[in-house]
Formats: sequence, structure tokens, C-alpha cells
Amino acid sequence: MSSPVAEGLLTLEAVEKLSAAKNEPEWLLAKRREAWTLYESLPTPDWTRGIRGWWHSAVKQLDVNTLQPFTPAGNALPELDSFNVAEEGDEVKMVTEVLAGIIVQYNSEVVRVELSPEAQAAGVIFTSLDEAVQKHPELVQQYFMTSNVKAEENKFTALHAALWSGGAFLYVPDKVEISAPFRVVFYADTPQTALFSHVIVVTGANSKVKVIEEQLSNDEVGGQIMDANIVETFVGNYSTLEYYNPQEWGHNVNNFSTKRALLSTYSVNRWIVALFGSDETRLDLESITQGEGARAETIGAIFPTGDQHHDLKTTTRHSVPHTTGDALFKAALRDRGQYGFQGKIRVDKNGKFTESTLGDHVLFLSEESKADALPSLDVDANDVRCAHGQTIGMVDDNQIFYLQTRGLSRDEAISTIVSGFFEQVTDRVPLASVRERLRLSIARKMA
Amino acid sequence: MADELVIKDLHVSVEDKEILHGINLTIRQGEVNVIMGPNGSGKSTLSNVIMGHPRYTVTSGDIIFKGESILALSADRRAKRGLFLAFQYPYEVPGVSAQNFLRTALTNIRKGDVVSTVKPDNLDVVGDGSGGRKASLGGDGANIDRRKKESLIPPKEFREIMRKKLQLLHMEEKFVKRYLNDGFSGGEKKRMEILQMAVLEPKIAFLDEPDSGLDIDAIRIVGEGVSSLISPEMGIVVITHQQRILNYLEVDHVNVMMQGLIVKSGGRDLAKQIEDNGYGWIREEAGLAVGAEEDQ
Repeated sequence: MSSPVAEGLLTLEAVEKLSAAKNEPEWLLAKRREAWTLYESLPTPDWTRGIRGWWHSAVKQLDVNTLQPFTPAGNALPELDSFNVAEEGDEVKMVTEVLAGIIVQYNSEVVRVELSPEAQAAGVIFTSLDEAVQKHPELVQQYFMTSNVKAEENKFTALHAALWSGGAFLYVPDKVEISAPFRVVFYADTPQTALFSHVIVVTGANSKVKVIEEQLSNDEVGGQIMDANIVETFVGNYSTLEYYNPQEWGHNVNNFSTKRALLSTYSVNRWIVALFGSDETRLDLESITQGEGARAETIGAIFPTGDQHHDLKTTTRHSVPHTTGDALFKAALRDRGQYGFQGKIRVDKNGKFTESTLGDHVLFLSEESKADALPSLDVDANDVRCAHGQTIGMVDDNQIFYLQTRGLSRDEAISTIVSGFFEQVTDRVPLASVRERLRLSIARKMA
Repeated sequence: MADELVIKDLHVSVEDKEILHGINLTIRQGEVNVIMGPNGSGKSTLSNVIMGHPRYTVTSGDIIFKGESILALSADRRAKRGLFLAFQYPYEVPGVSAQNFLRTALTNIRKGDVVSTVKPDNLDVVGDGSGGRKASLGGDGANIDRRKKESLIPPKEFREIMRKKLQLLHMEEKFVKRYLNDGFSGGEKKRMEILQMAVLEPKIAFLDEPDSGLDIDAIRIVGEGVSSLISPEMGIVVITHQQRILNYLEVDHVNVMMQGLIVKSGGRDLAKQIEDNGYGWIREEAGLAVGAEEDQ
């Protein structure tokens, strides 16, 4: 894309300049303007106060008005191609994942787009969202913030719809199965950047794909970076989407993220998320079954350490008969880490014969950490089987002593217990490279 | 010369209540010691104190191993010097494969108690600990792990050790592929303790009721397992209520504990006498009140 233009702070003028610089069609400019109006009228949510206002810790306030609406890519992109590790037998190896495609967004600009010849031949579209607007306007118009995530949901979705830039668009035709993952990387290294990263995934009937979305930042630059991020997935009939998001933003990032899956008949959507990074994260993670036989799976690992604050609102919503859901979250809290969990199984009136479970397990590693967990069932249909389970506890001194008597130091013992605690989640991660990476990240956070 | 564990006039309290009132005992490598006694007499406390359980406070006396007091050492450092405790109720550690755990444990034990590598017992070691992924997502994380893995006992060597020990104890390999004690039956947990002892090869091992809750066949398996491990390099202390497991062991010393004291010592015969006559006569001999153990 051409050089940045929308300089200055977040204003309607910045919205219009951004759209003009991108040569966007009139409908998109109108959509941005409308979203800006919503942004101005919507209240600033007080999510970071804890779900029930129980927390008294002073949460660092984000001053949106100091943020730049568009930040061009810099020239210090880190090495991205061989970060993966995999264990083969007892050997740890660096693995370069064979990818079906990769998109890298650096600050507000997409700087790299690659698609494997196989995926290309199969008719897969994998481009920046900016480019999709130009080349496939009808698809973008159909899927971008229409039936899935909407601008009016909250102040940050509205701001996002007004100022988004870059983004990734993956469209998979019917009957295309690709085992190699598509990788989308967001990287930021400039203070006062406002990022609005957007990912859309549309899978055709009987297709099967995997997406890895990653967030990374250089947090040695100081300042604040905001990422108001949206992911919309549309999982077609009988198709399967595995969506991985090991979020590892640096400490300089405030992250407001909305991810939602719409599931068609007999489709499967798997959210596999890890909240490890950022200063504060507020993730709204949802799956909505709209076709009979659909299955919504969610697994999450959350690990606030230092002064991190991870807030998670998650819903599995069953809106038609005969759909299933399985959601499992494990959170460990260290230092002064905070975790808010609002998990829900929602069964609409039409959601007869739903089978759905929700599990949330919290492990405290320090007295100063705080968690507020609120699982709930909201069921309006008969003949359903829904259950939620929750455990909350401190790491067990007896377990620590037991491991110490086998020669593990106290730190090693705790580290071992924590990795074991997360194993129920990591063990269920289908893609080996992500699985190993999560294990490694957990070990790093314990070090 | 064989290594000795010397317990000298040991007084121990929990929450300001004294529960061991001056224990004197010497355990030598290569010998089989038995501690018997009614419930609540302080047997389990003694073994936990020797391993360094933080719940207990040693108010006076000393524990000396290989000529040095170990009272100030954490449990892991005591283990690295060659002490071991097979727990009466082993803890479950879900998500941690028994095999990987044992490999780390054996690596640490073999390194021994090297003071320079001991970290303070403190969680906040470096930075703010939040560990966000930095700009360099290149190799550094992977390299850290690689170093860690390489410092472990080589996989081939470890597999061979496991194979031998499993064979010795008539255990199947699938046993160690499971998560540590997670969902194990009582008997399986006890066998896992014995396996750990076999792999870690301690100099002095305490076995806290290795036979409790087991049926006759399971007691035989555990008893024969323990017996097969005894060597001039390993001394054991079996804490038990039952005479049965002793049938599999060449017992050198029997000590009877009551009310936080060792009240009688003897040889193999003493265990038989207790089996036949109970503890009443010892209690009388020692001039102790009846039933005081139950308070503890």
C-alpha cells in the first residue's frame, strides 16, 4: 500500500483520509463514517474494573486520544520463519512449519503475502483485507462486519470499523482440504500505535483448513500500543476450521479483541487460544451454531504474570437444534496477575437437543494474584444437556513437597505442577508446532 | 565406610504443639530398619521431618547425615544428598508424565547437592515475570529449551535405566507413560514410589507404610520389590503396622515408637512379639498412659 496519510489523532478527518488513501469504494467509506458516529456516541466500557467491581487495583488507563490512527511499517521486522519447535522422541528441534500461506502485518500495513502453489491452484483466496476490498469487493461487502461482528457492539468495535487497516482475508472454496496452516502475524513496534487488525475466514462446504493468528510486539520502545482486533469466521456446511491464536503481545499493548465464529450445518469450529502476552487483554470469544449438527469447540490457556490483566468473556451459543459445544479454559496466575472469566453456554429457544459443556479451572501461584470467574448457563430450550464445572485453588504445598523430595527445587516443582496443569489444554492442541510453542511459552513464563 | 543418618534428641513441633519428644536413632547404609507403633505415635512425622517438610519445626536436637547437619536444607537438597521418602499417600500430579518427571529427578539427584546451582526459594527471580514474547521470535526460546533438554540424562541412557528397573520390579512400561499417580489405584501408587526409589538409588530411604491398604498379593509385589533393591549402598527404614511385609526383608533392627518417643528397640523377634501380643505390654513396660496416641 502507498504511504500513510491519516496522520494526527483519531478524528473523522483521519477516517476519511485513510479511506481516500486506500482508494476505497463509496460503500466502505460510508461504513467507516457510520462507525465513527457510533464510536462517538458509545460509552467507554469499564471492563477492566473486574466483572463485579471487586478489584481495587488501579488499572492503567489507556488514553485513546494520544494514539495514531495509522502507523506505517518500519524496517525492523524480526525473523519469522523458524520459530517453531517440535519434539521428536527426546530431541528438541527447530521446525519451520510448512505453511499454506503467510500474511504479515507490520504496524498498520501488510508487508508480506504468500500463498502456496497448491492453495492457489485450489482456488483459495488469501490476501490482505485491503487488497480484498479492491479485488473481491462483493465478498468483503458480504462478510466484513455485517452478520458476524458488528460495529455497534461496543466502542472498540465501532472504532475498529472506522479505522481498520491491513488485515487478512481467507476464502476457501468448497471441498478444499489443506493440512498445512495459514499463518497471520501482526507485529507492532511503534509507540502510540492504534492497531485495528482484522481477520476474516470463510470456509466453503466440505472444506478443512487451519489458521494460526499471532501477535508480537517490540516492548522495549516504550509508550502504549492499542490493538482493537476483530476475527470473524464463517464456517461452511460440513467444513472444519481450526483457529489458533497464541497471543503474545509485548507488555506495551492493550488488547481489545472480539472473535466470533458462525457455524453452518455439521461444521466444526475450534478456537484454540492462549492469552500470554499484552499488558491488558479483553477477549470476547464466541461461537454461534446456526446449522444443525454443528460443533463448537473452544480451548484456552490463560497465564497473567507480572502486572498483566487478562479478561475473557466467552459464549457458546446454540441457536438451532442438535448442536454440540465443548469449552475448556485453564488459567494460572502468578505475581500480581489478574484474570476475569465470564463464561456462558447460551441455548436459544430453538436450540433443542443441545449438548454443551463449559469448564474453567484456575490455579493461583501467588497471594497477590486475583481472579473473578463467573460461569453460567442460560437455557431457553427443553431437552438439552448442558454442564459447567469450575475449580479454583492455590498450588498445593503437599504436591510441591512431594516433588522436592525427588530432587526438584521449589521453583522446578512449581513449574512442573503448572505445566501439568496446562497439559490438559496443551495436550488437546492438534497442531504440533503450536502445541510445543504453548508448552515453551508456559515454561518461559514460569522461568 | 557406610554413610550414617544420625537422629539426635530430636524434638519437633507443629503449630506450637510438641509431637516428637527426643528421638535418638542411627540408620546405616546397607541395613534394614523397621519402625512400628500404633497410629498417631509420630512415625510419619519422623519421616517427614527427616525429609524436611516445612510444616514441622525442629525445636531442638539434630539430624546428621554423612557427618553434617541437614536441618537447614530444603527437601530437594536432602534428596540430592541421598535421602528418600516413599510416601504413605503419594500425591497425584496430573499432566506430568511419570517418565519425564523421573528423568528430571534423576538428573538432579545425580548432580548432587551443588550449592552454586541452588536457587533461592522464591518465585520472583527475574524481571516482572510476565514473559511477553519479545521482538526476537527467532531462536532464543527454542535455544533455552534445547539447552535444558541437553543437560538432562541422555534419552538412550535413561531408557535403559527405566527398562532395567521396571524389569526388576515386574512393572510394565505403560505404567511410566501415565501422568504421575494420576488416577492410580492405591497399589499402583505404592509401586510407583518403589519404582522412584529404584531409579533414584538413595543412600537412605524411608518407606512410610508401603503395605497399607494393599491386599496380600500387592504386599508381596511391593515387599519383593523393596527386597530386590536393598544393597550395601542402600539403607532402608520401613514404617509399618504389619508383620507381613517383613517376611520379604532381612530385618536388622526394629524400633517401636509411642507418643513421640522410641520406647523399645530390638531385632526381628520384636516384630513377631508385637504381632502376637500387640503393643500393650510395651506401653506398660515404658510406663505410658493408654490411648494417648489417639490425641495426636
